[in-house]
Amino acid sequence: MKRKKHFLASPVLFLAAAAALLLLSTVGSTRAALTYYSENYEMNMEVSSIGVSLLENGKVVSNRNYTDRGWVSGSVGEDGEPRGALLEGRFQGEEKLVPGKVYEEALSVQNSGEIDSYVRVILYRSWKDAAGNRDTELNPKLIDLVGLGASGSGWVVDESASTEERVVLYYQQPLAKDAQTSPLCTGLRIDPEVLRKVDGENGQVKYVYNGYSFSLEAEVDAVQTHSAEDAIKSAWGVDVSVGADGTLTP
Amino acid sequence: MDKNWKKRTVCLVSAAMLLAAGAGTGRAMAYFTTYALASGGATLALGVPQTEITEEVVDGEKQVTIQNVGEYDCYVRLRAFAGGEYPLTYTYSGNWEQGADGYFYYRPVLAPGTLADRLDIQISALKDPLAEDSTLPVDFNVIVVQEYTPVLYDDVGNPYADWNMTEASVTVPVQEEREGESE
Repeated sequence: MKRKKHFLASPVLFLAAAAALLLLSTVGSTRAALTYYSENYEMNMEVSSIGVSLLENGKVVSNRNYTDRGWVSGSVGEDGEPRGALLEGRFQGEEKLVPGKVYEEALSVQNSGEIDSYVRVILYRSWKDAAGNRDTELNPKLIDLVGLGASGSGWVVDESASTEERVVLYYQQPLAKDAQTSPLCTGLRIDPEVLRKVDGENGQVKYVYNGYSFSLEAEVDAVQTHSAEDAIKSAWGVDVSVGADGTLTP
Repeated sequence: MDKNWKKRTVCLVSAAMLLAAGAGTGRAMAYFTTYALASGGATLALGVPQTEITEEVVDGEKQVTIQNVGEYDCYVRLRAFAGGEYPLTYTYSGNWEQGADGYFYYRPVLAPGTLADRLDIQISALKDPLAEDSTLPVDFNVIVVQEYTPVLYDDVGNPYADWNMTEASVTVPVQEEREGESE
């Protein structure tokens, strides 16, 4: 009997061993699956990176993107900020800046990151004297940005946040990866009104704006679309509403 | 002893929940944002044009030329005045155009250093030799006024003149009085 019992115990042992092997093989698969998911997780980290580029006439002039090497910018100013040049190489030599004429100046924004984002642009315009000092007596509105926030462009001017010197524009739709907005303006024009501002003594007439430089500065901001209202409030300090279709209203 | 254990457990659980909540809050505040900057500009070079008129009297005819002696492009126009009873006749090239206001407009932009085509002014009564019993006066005064205005550009860059831009246009009655001699 004893011998028979021992014999019967063997299948049980085999069964247990098989179960153990099966279990181990399952554990192995699970580990493999974990390894696989781990790779996916690393990819997800890349997906979270944000980036934005400012384009002038279709060419990137400034950007700041988060990559696996950290923040990367195409050009950096002396202050360490991601700063590019507008109107570079223009109005030199044969091409003179003349009042009234519209010069091509199409500013747009591209999502150069990996996640969808909302973007806004703040434009600053002013007149500077030969020493580079801003002259607030001269009218910044004479630096005319043609088609600024035109209807149908997708851009809307936040009038409550704008002044004669500063214009704040929001792109109302979320910008997907690699997507580009339509231009927020199409041209630059110095209002001929500058020719009506004259001064002088003893019969000598001179133009008030002569020798002054117009200055145009652009700042583009981008923020994630997830929890957009809270994110914009936190990052930009403004209250906006985002509709069910994703349309942002400042 | 048992009560103390319960208290400790409650404290530990509370602390764990606070830590968990704190960690969650930290994540919620970390939004993805970025920005980029760009700037530029250009200097505006504006100047008042300068022109110079030259008048020569040849055989009772006044020959007028205008030169841009300044550093900036401009448009020019001129007008001649004489006694009403002695009408003036003009001879000019196709670049001049007589306006309804009596001015002659030089259509091309007058670049620095260039001369406008000559415009000749005659007193009709002096075209033919005077008869002995002519009652015409011995001397005539023909006054020529020339003006200039800066060149403006429309949206597409085409140049044009705005003669109503009185603040910037400078009316200069060059040589207020010119004498035309009768034969």
